[in-house]
Amino acid sequence: MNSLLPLVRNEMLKLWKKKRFFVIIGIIAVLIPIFTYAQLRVSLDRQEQIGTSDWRVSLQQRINDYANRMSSPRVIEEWRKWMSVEVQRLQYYLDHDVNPEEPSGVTFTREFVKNAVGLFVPLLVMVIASDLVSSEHAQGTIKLLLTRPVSRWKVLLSKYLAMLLYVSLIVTALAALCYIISGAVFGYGGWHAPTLIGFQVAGADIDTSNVNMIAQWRFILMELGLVFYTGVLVGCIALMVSVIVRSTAAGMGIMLATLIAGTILSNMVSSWESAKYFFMVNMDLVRYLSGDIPPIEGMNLSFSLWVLTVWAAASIIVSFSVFTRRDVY
Amino acid sequence: MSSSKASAVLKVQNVKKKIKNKWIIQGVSFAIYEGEVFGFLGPNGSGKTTTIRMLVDLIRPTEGTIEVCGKQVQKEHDAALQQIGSIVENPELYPYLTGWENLEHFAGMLPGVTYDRIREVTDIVGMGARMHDKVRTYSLGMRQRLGIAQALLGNPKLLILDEPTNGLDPQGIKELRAFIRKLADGGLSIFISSHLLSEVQMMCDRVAIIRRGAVIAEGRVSELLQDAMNRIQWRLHPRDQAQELLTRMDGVELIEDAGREDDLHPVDDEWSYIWTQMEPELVPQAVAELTKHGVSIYGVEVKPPSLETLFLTLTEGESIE
Repeated sequence: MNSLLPLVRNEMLKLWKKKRFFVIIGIIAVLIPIFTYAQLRVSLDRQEQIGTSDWRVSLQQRINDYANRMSSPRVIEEWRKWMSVEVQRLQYYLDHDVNPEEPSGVTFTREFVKNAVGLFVPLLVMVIASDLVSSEHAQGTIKLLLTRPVSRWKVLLSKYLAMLLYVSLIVTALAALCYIISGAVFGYGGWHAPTLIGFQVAGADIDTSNVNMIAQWRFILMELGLVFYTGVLVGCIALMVSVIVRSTAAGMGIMLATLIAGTILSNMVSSWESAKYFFMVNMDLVRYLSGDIPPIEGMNLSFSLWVLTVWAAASIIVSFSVFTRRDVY
Repeated sequence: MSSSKASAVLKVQNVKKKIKNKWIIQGVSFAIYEGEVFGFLGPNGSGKTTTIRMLVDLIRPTEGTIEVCGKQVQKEHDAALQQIGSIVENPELYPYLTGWENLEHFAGMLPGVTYDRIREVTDIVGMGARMHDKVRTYSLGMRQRLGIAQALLGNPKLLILDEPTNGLDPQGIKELRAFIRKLADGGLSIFISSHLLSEVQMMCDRVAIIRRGAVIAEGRVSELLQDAMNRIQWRLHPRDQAQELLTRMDGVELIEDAGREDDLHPVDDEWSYIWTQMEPELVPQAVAELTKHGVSIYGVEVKPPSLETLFLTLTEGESIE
């Protein structure tokens, strides 16, 4: 096993020198100020409309808003369901005197990470993982890599470990940059703001029997853990594609199409039950924490974790068996 | 160079490869001994690179065995590959790393390679100060050097070079040739594939000739050239009379149409050329005979055909380039 360490170091070095990580940091650093500004506009707008900065009034306003729209007969059944759940959730916050959107750098980070888990983080992971193997083929360096006195499975394993490390780096960098940049606008406080978790959606109703109040920093930690898990899964799938498809462009295309198909599917598959076994529909793990309605009825956190784990394991098996057996031309 | 035939560094036995029901390699066998430069000669598409890829375990042979220092490449990958340094096709390295970082990278994959060893191989190939530039900025010659440095890192017993002179200028080829000879004198066995006979002729001790996936001849470069060494070129006058006299002699055979490859016109104003196949010992006798009958001789020399001609006869005229 001690021969694995230099291999992982090699892979880390190559990814670093390819400057892929800088690209990712760059993307995050450009996008977050934009979202921060957007968020600022939204809260200013709302304040202006309601005429008060009291969050209770604003929350009550939103609940009434939803209730009004729900009573309209022209609303699609699914939206009605979603709004019904949302009303109950917000009501719960109101009843317990907890502000769900207390403006702070930490809250912004929480919301941003929640929205990033479905597509943004997977895309960033893809930038790193989708050419880990295919680029070696494209450069021809695969021949040098595989003619060393090192078994092929070790070479591939080192790439997996490097991917794992970079996913952690990405998630950490995302959270850190998010906090630092948005904190400059919204303030750096909010670590201990109370946050509610444990909502369970059952049909059009919400089950609050397991709801707990926790500090926001713990909520963010949980979020990041789930984002990391999703990131690792995307990394595994991207690596498998990279092993099978020797062209980097084709590999990226496949991954991109799959990820985007996932977000589209999530929005339209609620009546196709077996679609819940696709990994793309299960990537948004954070929604289970905050109590959003899942894309398909019957999905919950442990179900999604299982689906992701099975997909990751299958992709690892496929890539190892292909990589160790294939003739390299 | 290879007088001690005791220890085979590389032993290839009846290796075959089938891809999609087609036998790409139909039976390749040869052996390389310590300190010898071995040429692997064949036209493009004859299976040279496929064979090399099997030697270094990039491709699994369908049949046959490959042993490096007694270790089977397919069964004992690590032990066998530790003895081999190779450049398969072009010296492809990571363009976004410096030469030094590339060597560090590959040193990490070899047991017991220290920084001292990296410095040593850079000295051997003469990389010097450019070591710390990005490989992207290297010329092909520099890449070739770095490729060889990379191959030498692990102190291998066998160095495999695939078409090493491809893309090098004449000066570079000359340097490479001297360099390869130096390495072989140090006891390293070197396998060189090539489609150029002159290259093999100048660099190698022994040669295997491959054609359509099968080795059709293997032996010392000089042995394969034995017949060719008995080719004598005459410059004399008058032509007709000389030809008549020479055909009458025992052990002398006229070679028709031999001037084509040297681009010499057989008949000139003052003298003409004739080529004969004969033992060099017979030359003085033939000279005496011709002079006695009044034939003027302007020149006699042993002139082997280029290996191209030999190769064409071995491969029945399959085109080389």
